[in-house]
Amino acid sequence: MSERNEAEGGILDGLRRPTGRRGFLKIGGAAAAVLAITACDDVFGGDDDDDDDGGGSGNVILDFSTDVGVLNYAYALEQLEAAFYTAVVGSATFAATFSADEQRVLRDLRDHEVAHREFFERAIPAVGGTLIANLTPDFSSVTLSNRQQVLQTARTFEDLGVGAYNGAAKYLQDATLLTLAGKIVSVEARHAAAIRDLLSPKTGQFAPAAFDPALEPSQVLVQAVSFIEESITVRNAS
Amino acid sequence: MEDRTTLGGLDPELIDQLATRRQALRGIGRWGAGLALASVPLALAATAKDAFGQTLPQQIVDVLNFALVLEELEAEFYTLGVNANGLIPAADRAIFTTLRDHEVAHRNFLRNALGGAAVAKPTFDFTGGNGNNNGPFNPFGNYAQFLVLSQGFEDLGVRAYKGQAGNLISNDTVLTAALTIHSVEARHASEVRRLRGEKAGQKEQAPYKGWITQAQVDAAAQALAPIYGAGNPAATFPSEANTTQAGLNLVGIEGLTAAMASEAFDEPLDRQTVLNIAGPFIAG
Repeated sequence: MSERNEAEGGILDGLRRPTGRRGFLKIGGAAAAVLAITACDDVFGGDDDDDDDGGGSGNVILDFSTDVGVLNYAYALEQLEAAFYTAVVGSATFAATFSADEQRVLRDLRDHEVAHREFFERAIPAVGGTLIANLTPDFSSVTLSNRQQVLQTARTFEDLGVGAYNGAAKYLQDATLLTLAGKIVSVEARHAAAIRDLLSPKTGQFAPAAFDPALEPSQVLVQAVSFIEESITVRNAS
Repeated sequence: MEDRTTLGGLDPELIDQLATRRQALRGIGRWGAGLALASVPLALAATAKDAFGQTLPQQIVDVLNFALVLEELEAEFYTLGVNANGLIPAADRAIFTTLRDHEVAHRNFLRNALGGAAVAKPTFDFTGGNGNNNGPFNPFGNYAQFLVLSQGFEDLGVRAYKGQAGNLISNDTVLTAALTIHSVEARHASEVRRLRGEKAGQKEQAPYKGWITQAQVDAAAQALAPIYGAGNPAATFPSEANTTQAGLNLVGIEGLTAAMASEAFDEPLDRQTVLNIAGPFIAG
């Protein structure tokens, strides 16, 4: 996992909470559009637990009764995706495994997932939440020099991301956060279509159904669990 | 991920509700030509109330009708395109029959969900001539122009749905259904954008990536520029060049460039701006 840059002074001041449970989420940056979050325990507040057993793998608990729980869920998935594409692009066999066109796609996917991850890493504290731990990915089941395996894993992650965001949306209580999640899910869907097209060009496989899945967290985690060392439990969701 | 049926992923309860409605529709055919058409909307309206267990609030009805108009537009566009002799090359047909099938399914779903509250299908003018059929586009005689409009309608649809998500927050079923359509439109957009890039000899390169790079539009698609611009108010509906999310400027973080930051997030568009853009294609 790459190092996280500390925020430049000033720019994020509006996102960071000075003290207590108040936070500010700016929409568009205009002062008039600053959304003050007060008494936010019932919506944004509540911290998701990071229980570290001390054995190297922790247990992450996400509480979907708060928006922070849902955001941390998204953050977990973005951590996973960012780590995957970072590993793919950083592999010594990357250029030998993928065409120049495909390399561009995979680099873009890495950049976008990093952007998503970095966004959540800052936004969650800004709305009064505590970030879950840095997750430990496990891609040992994927041979990075195998084009088919990498693309199929990418397809799994992207489809999973779409299903996860679609299924989590109903748990979000704040309309601004819902729109933010919406801004990300369509990009994941663009990703999914591109990966699927690399696997099955000139077919309808880029979009296998007229309606995408909307997966409950339990359905998502069943698929994600083999790629994450930590265990993740979701409360107050199906 | 395994292939799913057309309705795969929808709430099972909603699927049952829709199945009930489809049976109601099938029954109408047997009544013959003598059936008074005026009675059909009433029958559907009754089913609409039953289906959701309540009358949908007007705000939600408005959103669904807005979506319905766009889906009718896309369904007709792709149906005409697929049926236009010699338009779509054989190698690309599977892509566009898929798009057609999806838009038809979206249209059917929305029309059924709205029941008697559904607006009538508008008449469309795909020349972009406000109903005069003398507009600047010839999508069914010129494949390149067909692809331009396809990209435009898909990217516009993504922004339109995204702009309305907040208005559906009070109804989990409708919100979720709308999102499951919205993400498929994004898949569509990605596919068509990349197809255009292939045709232009610029695979996986801006401005033809599956994702939108800084509101860039290629020269042949300049007419689409408003689709990637700001809406109203611009602070809530920024252009696709936006790199600031919730007050956070992503540029410079972990080496992110403006191009990357703008690609990573799609932007919503307000209803009126969407209608202004789609207007030339809607005759009435």
